[in-house]
Amino acid sequence: MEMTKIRKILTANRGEIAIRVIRACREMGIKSVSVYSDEDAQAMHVRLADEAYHIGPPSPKESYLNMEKIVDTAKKAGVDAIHPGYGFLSENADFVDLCEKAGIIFIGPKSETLRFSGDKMAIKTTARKIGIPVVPASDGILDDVEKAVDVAEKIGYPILLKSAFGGGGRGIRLANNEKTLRQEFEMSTMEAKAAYGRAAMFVEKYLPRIRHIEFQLMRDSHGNAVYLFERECSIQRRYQKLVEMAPSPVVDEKTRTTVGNYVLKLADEIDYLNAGTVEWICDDKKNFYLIEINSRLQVEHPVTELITGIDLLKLQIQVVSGEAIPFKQSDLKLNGCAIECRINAEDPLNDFTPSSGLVPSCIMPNGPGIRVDTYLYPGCNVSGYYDSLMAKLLAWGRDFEEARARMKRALNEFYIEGIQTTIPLHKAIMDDPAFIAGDLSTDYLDRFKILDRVQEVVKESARERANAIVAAALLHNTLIRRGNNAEQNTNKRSRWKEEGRFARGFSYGV
Amino acid sequence: MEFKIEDLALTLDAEIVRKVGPDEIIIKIGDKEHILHILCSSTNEVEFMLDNSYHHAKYMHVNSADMKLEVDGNPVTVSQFMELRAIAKKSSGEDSGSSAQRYLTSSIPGRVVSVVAKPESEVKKGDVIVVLESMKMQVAIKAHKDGKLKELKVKEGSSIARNDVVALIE
Repeated sequence: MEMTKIRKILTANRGEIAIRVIRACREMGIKSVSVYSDEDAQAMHVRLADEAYHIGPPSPKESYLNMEKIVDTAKKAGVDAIHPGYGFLSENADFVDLCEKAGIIFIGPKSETLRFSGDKMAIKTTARKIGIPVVPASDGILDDVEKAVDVAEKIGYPILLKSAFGGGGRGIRLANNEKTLRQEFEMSTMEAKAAYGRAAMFVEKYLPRIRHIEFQLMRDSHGNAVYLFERECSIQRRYQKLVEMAPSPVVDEKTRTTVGNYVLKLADEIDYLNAGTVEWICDDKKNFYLIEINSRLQVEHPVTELITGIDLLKLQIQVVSGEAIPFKQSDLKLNGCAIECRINAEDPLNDFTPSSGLVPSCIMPNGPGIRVDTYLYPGCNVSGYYDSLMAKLLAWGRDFEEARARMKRALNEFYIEGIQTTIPLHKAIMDDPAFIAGDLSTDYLDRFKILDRVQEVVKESARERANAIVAAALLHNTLIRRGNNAEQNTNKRSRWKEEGRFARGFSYGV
Repeated sequence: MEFKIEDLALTLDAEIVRKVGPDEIIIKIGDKEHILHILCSSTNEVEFMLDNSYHHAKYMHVNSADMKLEVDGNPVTVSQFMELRAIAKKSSGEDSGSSAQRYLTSSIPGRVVSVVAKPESEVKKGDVIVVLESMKMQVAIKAHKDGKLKELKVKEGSSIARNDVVALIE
């Protein structure tokens, strides 16, 4: 493959991942181009990019999912490559073809790989063929409910019903018996059709108390491949990851090598290109079963960056330029421990109701071992049109304990006004004895009733500042409310008026 | 004056004792005195030092009976009891705020994906009236009380903002 000099990259995404790409570009002396919908005109990824182009109305379908518009914009801006980020068009093979036709490099795997990895059945068939363990499941895609029922009978309930073209946890449903299977099948098909335009489903045995562990993969166009160790992603809610960390408390050196070698074998078999993640489930006997390949850079990639010291974004760009991966598997060292908490705009005390709107003020944590990837800034808008991830808070430490202590410290520093967040939930997790002991599984939140403990975290926080709360209420009554009548909507502060207010407060004997 | 921190079910008595400087007052909470130094204030927020610890309070929603505020980013609800207010509230009975209670509002912004309830139908508290989509999630807006669904203010596809009226239930 010939070497291509990349001078300008368009990011077909928004939010923190668009900013992540811009940062890598800037460090490599590459010009960055952002695209934005009406909703994002004032967003951080627009402000930071060298150039930004408006691509349409707020609705994702008309903006960030609008392939033609994005490729046209890329041509207009004269970019050499497009980075898709995660979500949106990141695993859309048609988009990759469209880029290729326009003479633009897609930073990611080849379109045939995306077609293959989007088909979970095909991956499993290939895996089985080369001796990689997979979970008992339907042999192919199921289009009607009767076949799904047959398969479920064969492998035994409970089963998971999955959209063959889903991802990121969407469209996965649990059925304990035939009746729920029939109901869920109807529902999932609707969801899958709306989201991916196809209804293909498959049925898989549900293994209780499993861990979700994934391996980071990188492979170049010369056939060199490395795995950058694992990430433990068991803490999830409705199949959406909340906390990720590396290393996994259950992966020892031997297991790491065994599973890592499976990853390399699979990557060679399918001639994988660029960054990817091979996802596994791990049962209580530490058996690993392959579940899928995510053919994109994932949300949680910084966890791996922190424990390996490798900048995956820059490596992606080097690889699409035709360069070889500049290190070998044996050069990689797993250094310390990293934890990521996803700070979502959701209220954990109110069934994770989305929260959106203006953020009048915010302060991001900082200091030793802390990294925050976010689009937040004081005065920004958290849009209800896109997903709820506002920030990825990461802590690195020499060991798990140091990483955990730093995460706790950073969660306390994280200040955001006007939006309900998952921060209280993360505080509860960081102090949970099961988390500390590494007793994790995908049903972790339910098993240890973590949500009940969030209530306690919030109360504890209020208890600590009970005096301040009462003082604030008192101040409002004596100072601010009285001031209100005299000078409505004045934000400026006048020492003279306040003097007067205090005096009045006393004479009225509040 | 008595303040009840609803989230803790904790009631504390607080008052201003005296002023000791241009921005400094002594307040009494329970039977303890504290030094409160006001750093800056506006109509909806205040920053202060309470016994040498920094705090920031933002007043989100205030009426005569209670206030919602965020103290150091933590949302809390505080009810205020002044004897007179308590009496006034009692004597005015239920009619205070009853018109507001007829309106079902949405606490989140979003797009209406389906209207579930039918106008003129009887609904029970907790029944789903409409389903919103916000942040790729579907969220049900449920009836806040039993009654007759007099009017639906939204239709499928319409976008609504926080606190918009969704329906009228009588």
